Amino acid sequence: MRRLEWSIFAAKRARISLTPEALAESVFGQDLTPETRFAAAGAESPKQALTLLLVSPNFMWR
Amino acid sequence: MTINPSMAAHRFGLGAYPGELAVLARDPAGALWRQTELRMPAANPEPLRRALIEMRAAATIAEKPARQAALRALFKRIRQSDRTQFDAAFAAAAQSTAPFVERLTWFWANHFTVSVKGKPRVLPFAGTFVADAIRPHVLGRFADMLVAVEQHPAMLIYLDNAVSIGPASKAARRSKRGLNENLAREILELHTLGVGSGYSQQDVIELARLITGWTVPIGRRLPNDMEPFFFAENWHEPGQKRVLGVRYGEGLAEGERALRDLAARPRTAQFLATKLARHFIADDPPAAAVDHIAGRYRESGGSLARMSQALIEIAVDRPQWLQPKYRQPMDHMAAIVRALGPEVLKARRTLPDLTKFAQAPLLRARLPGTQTKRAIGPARTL
Repeated sequence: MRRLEWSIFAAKRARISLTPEALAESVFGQDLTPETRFAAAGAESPKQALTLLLVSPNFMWR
Repeated sequence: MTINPSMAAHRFGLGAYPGELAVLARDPAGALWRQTELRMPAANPEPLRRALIEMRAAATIAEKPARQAALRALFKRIRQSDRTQFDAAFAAAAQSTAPFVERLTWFWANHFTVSVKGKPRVLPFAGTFVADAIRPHVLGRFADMLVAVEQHPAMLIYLDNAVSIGPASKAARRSKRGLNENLAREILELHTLGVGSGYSQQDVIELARLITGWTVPIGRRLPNDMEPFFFAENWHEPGQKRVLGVRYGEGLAEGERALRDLAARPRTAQFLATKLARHFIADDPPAAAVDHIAGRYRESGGSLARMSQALIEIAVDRPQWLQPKYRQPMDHMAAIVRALGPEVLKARRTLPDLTKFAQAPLLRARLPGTQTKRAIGPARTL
């Protein structure tokens, strides 16, 4: 749960110009999974999309 | 052949900032390889000397209540300053321009964990542990790192060698303290050969005897201007010792020789290679991967740069060996900071929780490669 709390907190603080989907593509390139792309593109708000991106499989695995 | 830029950034580094993969794409393996050829800066002895002076100022007060109050105040001040420096040091590390070296530093800091839990006297020395003993050697020789670590005040206090007295030493006649085996046991079990690798309880005792007198000069009767590592000859166990069948005599150099011999053992190569393979290749790495890494270590006389290059070689030549690795909490934090920028760490009220959360290797000693004045480092817990 700490990861989720920290991810919500980080998404709230973030000042980025990219959309969450563009960020995901830029950071994971060819390894971006459909699940992560869906999470980053399908949320209600950009902040929510960013939070979902930060707890996505791509961010949880290295 | 080369490796996928995302693998280079996420598996070997600390994540990617937007656009980093495009930069890496030209030559991902080369970008990693060049990091292993960097020259690491030597340790700066001054912060550790200052820590000893501060510690002595409190610990040598004659009256017990005043001494205890001074120590409590010192520990409290260090805890607070570590906390306030955490985000700056962590952000600098997460944004490193040599993230593979940074990950390796975290790896070795974790291998040689020190903790302040239940041992507040470690606190003044833990802050520079990584910068003093780990980082200078992370691309150097394992034997040099091993000696630096086992002679560091944070390690000597954490594992009680600082109070270990040879039973036949001069000091033993007027002290109720005796031999303490904790550090010697951890050297064999965690730092070099690995648990269950064929050493005996007698080897532990003999190694403990060899490193008696390795301590920190905090005692009241000692002069104020001593170096933070002190070989107390009158605490040292005289006579012959025998570790894993090798004979040693007495004195500081013999203890160091024993550590260097341990570093050179094939079992140590195998143990270190297994840990590296688990971290970088797969949770359950193929034996051939471990053998390749251990082989590079043996043929290079224990070079950690060669060992690190072996990991790149595997990623290039045997990409099918690399299996998904779950990020530790601190890794996850680092990847977020690298992707989103250090602003995400700003909010003082959350820092105590963050520092507890980022439990992994680097909490109680300075993060390496940072420009901050004071910082964080290895610990099981804060």
